Amino acid sequence: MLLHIMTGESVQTEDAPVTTARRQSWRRKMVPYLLIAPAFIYLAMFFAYPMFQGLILAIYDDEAVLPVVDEPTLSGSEVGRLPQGASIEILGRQGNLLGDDEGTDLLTELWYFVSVEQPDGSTAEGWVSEARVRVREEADDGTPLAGTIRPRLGENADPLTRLRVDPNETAEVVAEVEERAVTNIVEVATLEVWFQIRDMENPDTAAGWAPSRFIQVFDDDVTGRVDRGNAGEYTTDFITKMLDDRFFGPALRTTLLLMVLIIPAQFVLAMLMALVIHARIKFSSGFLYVFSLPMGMSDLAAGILFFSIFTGNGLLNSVLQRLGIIDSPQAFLTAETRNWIIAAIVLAELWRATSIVMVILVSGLQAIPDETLEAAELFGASYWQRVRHVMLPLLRPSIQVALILRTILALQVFAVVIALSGGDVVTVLANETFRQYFQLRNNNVASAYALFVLLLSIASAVFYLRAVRSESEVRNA
Amino acid sequence: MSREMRERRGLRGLLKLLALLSAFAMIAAACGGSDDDAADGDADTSTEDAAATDDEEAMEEEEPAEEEEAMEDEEAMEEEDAMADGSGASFVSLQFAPVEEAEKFRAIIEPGGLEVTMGEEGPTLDQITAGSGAIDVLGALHGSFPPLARDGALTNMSDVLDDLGDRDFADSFVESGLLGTDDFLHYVPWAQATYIMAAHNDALPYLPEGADIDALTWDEYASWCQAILEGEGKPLCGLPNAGLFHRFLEGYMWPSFTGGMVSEFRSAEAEEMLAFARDDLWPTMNPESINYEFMQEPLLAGEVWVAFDHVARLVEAFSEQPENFVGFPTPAASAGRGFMPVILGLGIPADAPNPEEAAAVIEYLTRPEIQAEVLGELAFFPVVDGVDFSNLPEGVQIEAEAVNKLANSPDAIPALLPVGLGDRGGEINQIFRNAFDRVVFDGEDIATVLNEEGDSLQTLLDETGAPCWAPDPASEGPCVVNPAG
Repeated sequence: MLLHIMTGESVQTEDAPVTTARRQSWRRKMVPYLLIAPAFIYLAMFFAYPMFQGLILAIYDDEAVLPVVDEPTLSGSEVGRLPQGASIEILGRQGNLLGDDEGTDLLTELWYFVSVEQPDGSTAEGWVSEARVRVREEADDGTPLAGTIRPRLGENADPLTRLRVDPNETAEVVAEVEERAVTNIVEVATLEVWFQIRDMENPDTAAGWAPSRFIQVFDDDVTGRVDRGNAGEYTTDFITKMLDDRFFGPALRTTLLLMVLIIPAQFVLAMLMALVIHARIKFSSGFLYVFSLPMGMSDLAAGILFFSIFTGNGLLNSVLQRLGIIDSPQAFLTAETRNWIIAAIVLAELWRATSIVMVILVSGLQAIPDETLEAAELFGASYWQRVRHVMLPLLRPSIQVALILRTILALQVFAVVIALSGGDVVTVLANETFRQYFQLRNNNVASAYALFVLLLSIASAVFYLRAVRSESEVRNA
Repeated sequence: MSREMRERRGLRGLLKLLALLSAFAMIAAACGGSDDDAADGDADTSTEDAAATDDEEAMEEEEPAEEEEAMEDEEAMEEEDAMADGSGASFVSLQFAPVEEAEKFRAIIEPGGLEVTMGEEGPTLDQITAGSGAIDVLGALHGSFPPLARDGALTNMSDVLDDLGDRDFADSFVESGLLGTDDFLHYVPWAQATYIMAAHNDALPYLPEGADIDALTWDEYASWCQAILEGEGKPLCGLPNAGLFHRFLEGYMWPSFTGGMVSEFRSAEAEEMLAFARDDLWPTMNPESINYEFMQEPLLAGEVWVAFDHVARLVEAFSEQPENFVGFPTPAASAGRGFMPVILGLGIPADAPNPEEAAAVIEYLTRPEIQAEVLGELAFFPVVDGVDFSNLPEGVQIEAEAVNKLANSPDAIPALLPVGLGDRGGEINQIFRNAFDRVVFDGEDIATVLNEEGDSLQTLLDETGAPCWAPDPASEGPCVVNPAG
């Protein structure tokens, strides 16, 4: 497609020299896009697509409904739909025999017609489920030829295996055979089992057939439930579940509280650090290295470090004790002292992540021409005035970047919280995403949390892009 | 045409070339590396490469066919060979994942030529359900198997168990592996464990008068901790709140007080129990319990004197300082002494590439001598008979005695791990934790909390259709949480 455009266009260029200039400028504009196209494709394939697939889980339940059909075949016409989990009445059961070449995506049952020599010398013949026979001999094409009857497991199990007149659990029993009896497999039948079911809550609705894999039959054999559907549905259930989650409120509150506490403090600190480095005093590059050291540490390590400071036998307690401020160790990280846990998280985050803001600000400061600052100095501006009226306005783009980055990072705070609070007493949104996916194995709700965090990130980025604008941007808007 | 213009045209040509190249790259990427008719020198070599790999593949395809023929001739021998060696199997264990445990476990299986990969539960189960065909043996807790069973992602292990006829597996563990079916064994039992109590010798003088440490009641336990708090000036009892605390609630608190786990979740006895936990028990606990994951650590650090935890998470305290710590059964209340046996199983995914090798791994791991080593090193107890208990390390010996006393105490109520919840087994743990946290940490009203969490529990049971498991009486349909009172 692209090739077409390019070659077609070059032919035209020679034919029509009048429009050459416009076309050339169009082409010059196209080139960067072409150059960046592979990156776009890469992003789309490895980032946008998986992310979209992941986030769609938040609003799409792919097992929500089970269509039931008027006859037990895949080609039957739909007579109704049952939601997942519906209580059902089992009205009938049918096993459809499948030919060799018929493929099916349904769960199948394998039945063997076997002949077994009984201890009294007679031969018993009948159908038995594949689960009861261990195949020991196969033909070249994989057809089972002979085997033995599997022993029954479990304490209360009947040791005898029943042979039936038809390949069906409910068919008449023709013989009973001992475990480990040697068995000849005469015939193999592949069955696709269907159940005729009716919704128990709405008995007026028509009964219909559904494949066995979607149905859970209770022990009484006449009732059951729709274990899962095979048709998807868009739903707000997962979002509702997230909003009703006991941890949603506390997690959101803590996350926002941490943002409010951490980001301004970090900015003041990072600005101070950046000014120290920018002042070009002796060893200022040494300061840069010292300030950026914590950046090299993982957040979990930082969390554990601060845990060792705040824990009962930790550094803080021993220092306070030695100074005579307290008599016995205080417990800071407990369910009764949640504010201390928050304080410890804030301190750990300040220590760990301030330097990234500093790096951005330092690079912004270095981009300010010395002439500008010297001019301000010549006009008699004090240091504070220079910072307030020259540096900060010129730093706006850097501040914008740093704010967006910092806010997104604040929404991801996770390991520090786990290390300092165990994750139950004080929790954050990222921890809840983790809990839903790993501990509760609930991908959909985890995805809802992820979607929520994404929306918060986008909202905060948009907010900063609009709030921290330079004057020219405001004028152009 | 001026020189400048010519140069510019040259530059434009270069850009065009670059654009063309990137367009080619895009097309090639979009076609997924299929042959394109790019007429450059590489084409020849690449076809040669392709031809070469084709040949190799063909040869590889032929070889197994020959092997199969050979196998039919010497089937018995082949089977013996397979049984002797599981080195080709990819064995993923979700258990023994902490680095130290993993090292000990690797040392145990290394003489058998086996290797193991430590997996994370979520991703590993997803991998098996998705049919990756990369895992031969899965070693995991009982609770990891039901989600796989639901998706039909496991092989029936009854033949493997049958071939291990010389090993006498405890019947109740085989029963658990059936997951409620008649003849589909989802895993071969691998190891078992449970939870016990540990106490430092310094704590023993504070035991309430007349209390027998091997037959404690929950009230005595609370007054013991209270006495320690008063005597020492700080709380020295601890619970693994950041660890397996949900098992403490499901298998010990609820069964001891109510006699059930699920059906009596919001009974009057449960209300009393939570009031006891809030008013008598938790105030005597070290409040830093919310950060305890493995109780052996605070025990050894002296932060805690009396602790409840999984045997594998206490063993270091017993083995490092056997002279300082005693092990004893968990407490009992009006209904009895609830305790929770934990089972590890070995299963073979339905799409395992080397099922014979997998069976060899399982054979190796269930040998009595290997089971004895796992007990000695990792404090997971054997599931087969004939294990030599005489040479146990001292720490494990202490635990073995405590476990024995617990399992054989006359009022013991074995409470099984939740069954039949499929991949939603984690939610029940959260419900029990919620009930405790909301009452004890957040000070909410007990009856309200039990009612709300009881409703969530009922919803979970209804949505998964899980029938009751021990100690609750068996049910035909989904288990029912009885109304309050």
